[in-house]
Amino acid sequence: MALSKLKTLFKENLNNKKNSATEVDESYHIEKPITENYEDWGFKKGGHLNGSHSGLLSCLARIREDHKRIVRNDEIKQRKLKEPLITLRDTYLEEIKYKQEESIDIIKVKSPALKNKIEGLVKEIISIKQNPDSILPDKMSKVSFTIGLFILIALSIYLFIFYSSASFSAFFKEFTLNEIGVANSIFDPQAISKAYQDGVTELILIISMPFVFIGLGFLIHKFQEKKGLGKFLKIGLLIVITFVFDAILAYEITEKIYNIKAENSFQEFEPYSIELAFQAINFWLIIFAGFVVYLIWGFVFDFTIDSYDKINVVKQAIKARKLEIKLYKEQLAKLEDSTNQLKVEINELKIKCKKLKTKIDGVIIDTAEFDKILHEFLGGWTHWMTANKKSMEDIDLANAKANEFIEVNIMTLETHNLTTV
Amino acid sequence: MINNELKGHFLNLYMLALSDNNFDETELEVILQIGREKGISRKTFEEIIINPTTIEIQYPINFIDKIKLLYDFTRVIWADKKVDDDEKYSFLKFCNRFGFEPQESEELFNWLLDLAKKETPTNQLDIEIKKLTN
Repeated sequence: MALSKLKTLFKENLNNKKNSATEVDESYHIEKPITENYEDWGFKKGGHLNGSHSGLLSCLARIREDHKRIVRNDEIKQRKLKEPLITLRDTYLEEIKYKQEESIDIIKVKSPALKNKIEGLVKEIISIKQNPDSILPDKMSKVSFTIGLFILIALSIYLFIFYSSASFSAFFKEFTLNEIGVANSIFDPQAISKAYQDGVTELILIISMPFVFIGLGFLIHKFQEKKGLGKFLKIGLLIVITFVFDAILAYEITEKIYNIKAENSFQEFEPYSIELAFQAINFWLIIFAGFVVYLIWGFVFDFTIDSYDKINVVKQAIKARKLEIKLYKEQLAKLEDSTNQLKVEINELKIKCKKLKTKIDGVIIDTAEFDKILHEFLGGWTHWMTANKKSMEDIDLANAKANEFIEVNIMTLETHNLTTV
Repeated sequence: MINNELKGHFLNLYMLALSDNNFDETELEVILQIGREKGISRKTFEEIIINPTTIEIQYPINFIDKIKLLYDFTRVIWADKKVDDDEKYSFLKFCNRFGFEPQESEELFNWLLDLAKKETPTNQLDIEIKKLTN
C-alpha cells in the first residue's frame, strides 16, 4: 500500500514543521462565541441540531466541560470558592498535629513512666522476698509466732484432755473409794474409751466440751480487737461465765468425792455446800488446772495472732505492690488503646486531607452560576423548538431530559464542593 | 462489542463533532448510529453523557493525540468486522476537522484500518508510526 502522503504527514508533524496541526487548537475549548449569551447560543444550536434530544444532552455536557475549563482559569474566583476547603484542611492538619503530639507524649513519656513504676514495684517485690526483715516491724515476730503457736497447740491439747476428762468426771463418772485422790479425781486416762462404751452421745459430749472453753477464749480475742469501752464489759462477762462454768464442774466433782467419803465413813458429814467446796483443795486444783490454763491459752492465742499479723506484713506488702502493678498495667493498656485510637483517627484525618487536597487542586464550580447557564441554554433551545413548531410532547421531553441532566450534575457538583469529605 | 475505554473515546469523538458546525444533524445521527451498532445504545449514550463522573471529555491537543483518537474511532468502526460508507465518511470528516488533506486522510484511514484488523493496542501506535516513518 502506497502511503507516501501519510509518511510525509507524519514526518512533518512529528518534526513540528506543520505547526497548524500540532498547536493546541483553542477552538475545541470554547465553542460558544464570546459575543453570544447562552440563551442565544442555545437557540442557534437548537437550529443546528434540529432540536435533537441527544444533541441537547451533548451540548449541555459540552457546556459543562467548557465551563470547567473557564472556571479553572479564573484564579481569583477559584481561590474564593476553595477558601472553606483550605480552612477545613488547615483545621484537619492542626488536629493531626495535636493528635500526633498526644500520641508521642503517650509513647515517649506516659507509657515509659508507667513501665518504670511497674519495674520498680517488681524489683521491690523481689527485694522483699529476698530480705523480708527489711519491712518487718519486729524481727522476732517469726520466732515469737513459732513459739506461740507451739505453746498454743500444746495448751489446746492440754485443755482438750483436761476438760474432756473433767466433764466426764463431773457428768458421768461414778467415784469409788480408791479414786478420790487429787489426781485421779479430776483426770481419768480412760475417759474417752469409757464414754464410748457408755454411748456415742456421751462421747460426743465430752469431746465437744473443751471447745466450749476454747470458743470462749477465742471470743475474748475477738472482743479485744473491737474498739470502745463496751469490749471490756463483754470480756469481763465472758471470763466470769467461764469461771462460773469451771467452778460448777469443780463443785460437781468435789461434791461427788465428798459424798463417797461421807457414805463410807462412820462419822456424820454435814451436807456438801459452797463453803465446803471453797475449803476443798480439789476444788481449787480444778479451777487452777482448768480456768487459769484457759486464761493462759487466751493470752498465748492473742500473742500468737499478733505475731502472725506482723509476719503477714510481708505478704500484705507484696499483695499491695501486686495490686498497684495491676492498676498500672490497666492504665498502660488504656494508653495503648488510646494510641491505637489516635493512629486510626490520624489516618482518617489524613485521608480526609488527601481528599480535600484533590478537591483544592481540582476545580470548584459555582453551582448557582452553572445552573443559570444551563437553564439559559435550555431556554434558548426550547425557544427554537417552539418557534419551529416542534410538538409540545417533543419540547416537554427536551425539558425533562435537560432537567434530569441539570439535576444530576448540580447534585454531583454540590457533593463534590461540599466541605464534608 | 466495544469496551468501556473505547466507549469513552467514542463519546469524546462525538463531542468533538458536535462542536464543529461542519457536522450537521444528519452526520451526528450517523455517528450515533455507528455507536448503536457497536453496542452503545441511545439510552447508554444519554446515561453516560448525563453523569459527569463517568467520562472526562478530552480533546486531542497535539498531532499524536489526534491520530490516537482517530485510531480509536477506526477500532469502533471495525468492531463488527465491516466498514460502511457512512462510517468512512464520518472518519474523513474528522480528518478534515483536524486539518488533514483528503489524500492524507484516505491513506490514514487505510493504514489505521490495517492496524485495527491486527488488533494493535492504541498504546503501540507510537511504535507503528516510527516503523512507518523509518
